[in-house]
Amino acid sequence: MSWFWMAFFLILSAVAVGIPFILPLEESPEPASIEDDLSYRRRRLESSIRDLDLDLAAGKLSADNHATARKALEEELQALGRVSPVLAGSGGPAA
Amino acid sequence: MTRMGSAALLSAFIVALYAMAASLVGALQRRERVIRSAEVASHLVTFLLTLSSASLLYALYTRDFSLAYVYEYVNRALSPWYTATAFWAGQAGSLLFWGWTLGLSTSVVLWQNRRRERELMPWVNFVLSAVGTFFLLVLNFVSPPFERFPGPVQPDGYGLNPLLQNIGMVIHPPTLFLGYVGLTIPFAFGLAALIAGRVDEGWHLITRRWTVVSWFFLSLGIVLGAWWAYNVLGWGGYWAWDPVENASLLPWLTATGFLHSVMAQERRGMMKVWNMVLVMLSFFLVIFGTFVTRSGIIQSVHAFGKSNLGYFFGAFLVLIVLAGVGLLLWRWRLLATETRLESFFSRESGFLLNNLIFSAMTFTVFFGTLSPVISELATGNKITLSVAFYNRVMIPAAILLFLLMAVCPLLRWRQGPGSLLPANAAVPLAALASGAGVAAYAGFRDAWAVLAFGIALALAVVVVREVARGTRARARGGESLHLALGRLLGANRRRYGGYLIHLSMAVMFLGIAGSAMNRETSATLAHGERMQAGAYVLVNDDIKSMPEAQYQTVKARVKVLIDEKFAGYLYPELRYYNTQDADPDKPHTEVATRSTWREDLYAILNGYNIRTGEVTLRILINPLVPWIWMGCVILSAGSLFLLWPERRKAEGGGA
Repeated sequence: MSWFWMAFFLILSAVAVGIPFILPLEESPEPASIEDDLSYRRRRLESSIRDLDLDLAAGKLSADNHATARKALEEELQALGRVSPVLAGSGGPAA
Repeated sequence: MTRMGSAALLSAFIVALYAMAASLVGALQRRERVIRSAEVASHLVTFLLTLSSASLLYALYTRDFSLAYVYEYVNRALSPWYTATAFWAGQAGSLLFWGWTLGLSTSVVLWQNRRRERELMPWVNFVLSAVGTFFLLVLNFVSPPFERFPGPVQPDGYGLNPLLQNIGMVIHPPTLFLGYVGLTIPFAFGLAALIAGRVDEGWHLITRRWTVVSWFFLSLGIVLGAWWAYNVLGWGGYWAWDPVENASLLPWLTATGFLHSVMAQERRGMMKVWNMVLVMLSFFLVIFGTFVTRSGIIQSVHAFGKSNLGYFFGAFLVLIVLAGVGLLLWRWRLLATETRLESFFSRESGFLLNNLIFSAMTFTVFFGTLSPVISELATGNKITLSVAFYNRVMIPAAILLFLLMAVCPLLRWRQGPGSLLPANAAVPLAALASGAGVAAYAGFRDAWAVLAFGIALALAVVVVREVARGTRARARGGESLHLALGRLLGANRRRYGGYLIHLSMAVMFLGIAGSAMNRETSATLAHGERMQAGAYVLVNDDIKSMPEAQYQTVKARVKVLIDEKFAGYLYPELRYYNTQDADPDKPHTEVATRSTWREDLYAILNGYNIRTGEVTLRILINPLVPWIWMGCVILSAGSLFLLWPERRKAEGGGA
């Protein structure tokens, strides 16, 4: 092992790990959308709605049952704040 | 250059210690600057490990025989292609490769989450740095890749094990290591979620892609290993329930279970403890596999030599168990399930049953692998369980799993199957009966194999029908059929990628079920003499011996006739390597195969007489083996489809 390289790497490392103590910090980061509880619940509801659509397409649900269940989930979703564009776009099968 | 590599490795160890300590302090005191400094340190570790790896590769390519590792794994005749393989062929090199890929993964995770998950990330970095520090400890003080060759520098090296000079061995180890390393990430997030007490907030969603990627590499690594065994070891099979093979299968089983049960957590808030256990168990089994491979406690053709590495990995295993169990007990209340099972015939019940089967399989393989150790401790005699033991448990369990794969798409979340189930199940049941009937008609007499064919066909029918119905439903809304199909698949990548992977598993399983019809025959043929093997007639056409760069080869030319028509030549071969320890009585077998979609004609040269032109051939006819490799291609396509980034959905009213 070379002591020269060892000293070089350790000095380089010491400088690099010291930089965050000197430079100004970035703005306090926003909590990730995925971490946000509301967003998490919304994603779960969206998944459930997509599943319902696919179940209808696959013939596992009657149209009546699908409409009732979808309406309940949509209301729950709306209560969370907004209807995601995922559902308005080209998500599940066009029922 | 190698001195620089060695210094980089030791520096990486010191910097990793700092990263671990700084993450801990930063997380406990919530000091962002300390946390950032720890992250910089982790990136530095990756940089230093990259330098170290590059140094070792440079030494291998420049044939620097002053290093013991270079002397042991390359010689001057080795091709540049296989010289790269030598990087992971030995104990120290493979650990360095592991450490380097772990460093790269750590850097990617830290970069991806540099503005998110700020409460979790210091703990994630702490766990990843701790794992990295362990590997660097081993690399610096137990199994150093830059150790000097004792004594005067030799003019040539020992050379790479001939068995490893194969394309399968070029790809198989790194893919397997990538799978192993990838499982460290969900483990780190799982532990971090427990420490930070944020188990409800989707840590599994962040790591889901990592789990799928590592699962894909692990699957690919396992199948490539089987392909290598089939084509190189020359015994006619591809899986022998060898302890080292089992070691790679164990984390695959638990990771597969996790990929299913995590859906129940995402959709229904269920199985939280279980998912945490699976994530920890997967990582534990990765280290356990390494322990088995490198400690020498269990004999295997694939194992590295006996070394004191086992003590270190054993201690690490104990640490993982203590940390995992301790944290689970501490956070038990937070992991309470949000909902109850509402119907035994719901989709979440299917996932539960799926996990029970995977657990039973894991336990069986784990117990079977450790049986020599357990029996020696209990009775003083080493008892190795035979293939029959594994088959007795694993075949019915696999059949049940495939049945679930066919049934689960028919089930709904929360509720029972409803009144539409009988109508939906009629076609798959008819497919099951037809598939089984065709298999029986084709000559399969093994009940499990017949059932496997039926279930595989039912599974395929269910998947195709799901896609067809979804497409038709979209097309009714005015889209053209191909646009409807494209949009349906594109908008539900996870679901349909998963189905494609299920199909690939069914294809592979049929390939495995084909072994119920394997046939074997042997004969010694004089020059021009012929033998019958199934529908083939094989003629001893020629045999010759010639020198190659690294070995002397004896190659037979066998003419293949089908219905007396010429169908090609097979060239089974024996190689006598020039390496210093080559045993002239144990040449390496190079099998020759003729593959069609129906079967492999597999020829092994068992003996010869150059003077008389006589050859002894062992011929195997292995039905459906190519389906296993074909299934792996479909699996790769399914995984890539599933992992392909989705188009970003427009937020707000901008859509």
